[in-house]
Amino acid sequence: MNGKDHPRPRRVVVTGMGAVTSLGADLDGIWSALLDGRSGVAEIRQFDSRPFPVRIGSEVPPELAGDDGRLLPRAARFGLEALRRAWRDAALDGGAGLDPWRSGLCIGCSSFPVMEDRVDNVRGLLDGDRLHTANYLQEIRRRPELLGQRDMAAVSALLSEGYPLRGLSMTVQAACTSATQAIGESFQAIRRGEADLMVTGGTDSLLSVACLTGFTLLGALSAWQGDPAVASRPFDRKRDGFVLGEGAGILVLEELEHARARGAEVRAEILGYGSSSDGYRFTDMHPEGLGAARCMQAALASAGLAPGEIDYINAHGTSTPLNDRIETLAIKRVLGEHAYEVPVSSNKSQLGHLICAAGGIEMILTVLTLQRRVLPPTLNLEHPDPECDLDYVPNRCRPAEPRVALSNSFGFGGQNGTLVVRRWEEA
Amino acid sequence: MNGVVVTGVGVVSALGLTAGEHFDRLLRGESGVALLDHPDAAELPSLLEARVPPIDVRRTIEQRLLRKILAPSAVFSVLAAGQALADAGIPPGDGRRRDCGLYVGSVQLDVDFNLFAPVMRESLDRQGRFDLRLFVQRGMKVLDPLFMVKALPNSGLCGITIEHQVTGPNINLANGTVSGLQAAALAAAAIRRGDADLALAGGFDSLLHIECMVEHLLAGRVAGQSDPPHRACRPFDLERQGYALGEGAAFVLLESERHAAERGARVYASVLGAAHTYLPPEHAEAGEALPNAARNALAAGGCGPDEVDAVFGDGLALEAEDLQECAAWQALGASRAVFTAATPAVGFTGAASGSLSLVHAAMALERGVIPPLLNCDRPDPRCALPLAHGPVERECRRALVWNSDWRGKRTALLVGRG
Amino acid sequence: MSTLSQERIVTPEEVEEKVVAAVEHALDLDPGQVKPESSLTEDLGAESLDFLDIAFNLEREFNVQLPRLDILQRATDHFGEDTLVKDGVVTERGLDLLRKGMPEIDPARFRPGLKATEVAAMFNVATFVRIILRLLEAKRELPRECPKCGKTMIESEVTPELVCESCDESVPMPTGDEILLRDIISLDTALDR
Repeated sequence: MNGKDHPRPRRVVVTGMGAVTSLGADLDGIWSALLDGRSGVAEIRQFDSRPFPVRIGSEVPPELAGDDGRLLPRAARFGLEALRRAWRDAALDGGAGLDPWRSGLCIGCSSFPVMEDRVDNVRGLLDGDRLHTANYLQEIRRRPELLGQRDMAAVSALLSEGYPLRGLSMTVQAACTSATQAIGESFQAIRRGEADLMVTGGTDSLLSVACLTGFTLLGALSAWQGDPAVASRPFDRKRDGFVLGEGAGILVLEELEHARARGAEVRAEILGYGSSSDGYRFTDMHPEGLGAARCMQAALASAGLAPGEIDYINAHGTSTPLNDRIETLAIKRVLGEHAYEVPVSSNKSQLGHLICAAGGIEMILTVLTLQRRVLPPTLNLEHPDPECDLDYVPNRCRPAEPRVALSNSFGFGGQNGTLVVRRWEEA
Repeated sequence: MNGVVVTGVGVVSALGLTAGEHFDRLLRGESGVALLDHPDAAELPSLLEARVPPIDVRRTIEQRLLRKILAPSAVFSVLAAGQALADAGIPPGDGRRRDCGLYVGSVQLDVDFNLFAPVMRESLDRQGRFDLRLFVQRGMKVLDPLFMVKALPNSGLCGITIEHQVTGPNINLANGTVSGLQAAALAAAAIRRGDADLALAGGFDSLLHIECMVEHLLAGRVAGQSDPPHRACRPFDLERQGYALGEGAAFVLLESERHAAERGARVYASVLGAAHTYLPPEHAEAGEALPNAARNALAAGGCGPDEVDAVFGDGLALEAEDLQECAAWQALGASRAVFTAATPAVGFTGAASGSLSLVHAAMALERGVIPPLLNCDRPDPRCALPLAHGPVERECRRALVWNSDWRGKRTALLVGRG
Repeated sequence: MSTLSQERIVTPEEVEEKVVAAVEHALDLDPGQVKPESSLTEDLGAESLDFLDIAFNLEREFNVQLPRLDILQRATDHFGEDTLVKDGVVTERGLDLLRKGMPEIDPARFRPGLKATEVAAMFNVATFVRIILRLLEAKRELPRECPKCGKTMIESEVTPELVCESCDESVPMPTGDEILLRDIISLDTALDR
């Protein structure tokens, strides 16, 4: 497609990372909180959650959610902040001689009508059981920022705006798989030579009245009524749903020679990416995990690796009864007996489920796992589930020497994505 | 490197529920634009629409749950994708569907405000203020528990995987207007690198709901009433006044050239190159974005500008956008290319628009005839484009499809034959 | 919204008719395809989203709150670990409770080795009818005297709660989860005897 034939496949490396999470925005801080077994889950504070049947979430602290006066949605603010941090982490401040037409951005993000934003004149908007259109038009004239919230293209456009990124600009929406797919497509764009640098990952905030309600009505959330910190319990027999989170995880991916030419510090190498669909149901995973397994297999094929070469898996691990059982099944389907030797952990036990941003922050944490040679734990794993019988690094982090890791995401709608990443060792 | 070809097409539009009917009517210069007829719009200034004819989902969609969950525009996507598969000779039950890729462009689907109206009503306190406690106690009880699933932007993609059992590599872009054409570029790349032999690619959208109407109305982008309505959208004309709101879906089945040859598939066209750019419209160099995308797509396909026979553009009938397309055409130097666009006939179809143009280009190459651009009677002298005022019979070897988003995203894709 | 009058006793036949209608509607089935003994999952192909849909419509129809939780799991929290379900499998005591508590299901199906996750797939139309009749009965047993002013409380037309006609006090009705948990506890006590 690029018209140039590359004798050897171009290599794609991670050169910058930035995050905004319930456990802060400083990567060292987030990492040590995870290793210490701390949880970012608490009572939701951005609106009065007390009347709700589910009151907990993994919320970004107010000092990181501040508005710069542009009335931006929370997800956009998190994305901008994480991008600023990733950009600096990659030592790109000042532009670093990038060719902007060969630099792009691909981000996973969702948007939803934010109900509470529309309610200060709700009575005026109602005409019996319907919308009063003329009043609505008037309200929108007064508050034009209410429009365009369905347009997720706005998020990638906004993030690209202040940076020399004039190539590919995309917003991916594949529910919980969004960020993983965004990273995967960015990896492919660099590998095939269409871009030299891509900013990618995900940002999301569904901790709103509308979305908390939506997930509650679907019965997807944990109904845990005790200590919020122990509500998210991936692979535990008593798991009863996920905990809604918010935040952003943004990475800078670069072609290896491009990174070397500007003296960038390489953190890890992305080796492969695979995606698949279940083709089964909207919210239930395929009972035999076929879709998830084909996705991991495709990722291994893309990386040119055998199952036995995988040392660690950063799981999707949502803490729903179905996902964790099926993910376990799918891992065993792909890795065979080797599955029992591969540690698997879920960061959602501490950060909750960041939905469209989940794959972004989890990719960052996978890179840190490889770099720092410690496996982050799966918190709250107290009651073994006979159907979840792998090594989930329960409750305590553990030193290890993983070289190659998988990061899984499986979403509503049956879309699956897996990334393969390798520890960077200067050859 | 694997070559990539188009071997199947599918369309659902105001002009018809099959690609064949749609394209025949397009060639005849027919238009699907009519006066907007929507209960919510009664109090708005008079608008125009290009609406898809009614669809009997019980007869066209086999999977029961999809009939319940899918929004109308997602239904379009499932039908158009099914057509493209059938057109390419990959019938239901064919094992090749399992590894077939699926690359879809969509937008946030509409959550109808009227769904929330009763919820809001139940949640008001005596002073008429929204009360969270009442919302949880009463409002939530009358809210459809499936509303969130029904509004998933990837529900069209999910619907296609369930209905057609297409479960290979995939992505769902929710990237505004250019989503559909970008999806095709990604699908072609996946085939080229060998991730799949087959991939469906397309886009779907509907702008016929209240939020879109209001948004486009306030932005001054929609044409007002005109007599007759189908004459309202006049790209590159001195009397341009914007577009009609449209809806629809368009899909192509892409295939590796080798795979298509082995099974003797009919080939519409080859996908030769693609490129994407982004610059915000207010940026000083914004004018470079579209020609750059076009040039890069040509370069990727190893094609000179003077080899291009046709350009399939947007033709939105808005001054800035029309001038931008003209400037891009001039900057490119595609001296012998005929320019056409379908917006006057099918309305502005958002995330489906680039996919529709791609289908038009593929069919035009196969049939040797370029569909017309309607309604430009008094060309704006600043728009010196060689427009296809009627169907142009021409042996086309190279056609460029380009598509722009009002936020500044541009995608260009080069197709060819022979 | 057409809510059945709450001030008269709704007959089992009426409830069945409404459940059948809700199932037909949710599953897009023709009249006559749904029988009282039809299992929603096994016979009619319902999936989890359909259950939400059916429950939503029935709750609005009868103004009750159907149980949300897996009752065995809920009861386990009450009875203690491993009493009704052990390692995901229903125990003898759990099977006994199911046979007595779900009389509309063939008792032979509650065989040893049954997994707790398999129980929901057995739910049939009669299961819904039984639960709704039970909730309507519980509703009738609620005291109608306002705790605040002593006047009569009437049922809200929208939500499962009683509202006072004169002072605006409201009292939520017990949820399906609460009522069924109480029932399973008393059933267990009866079985012990």
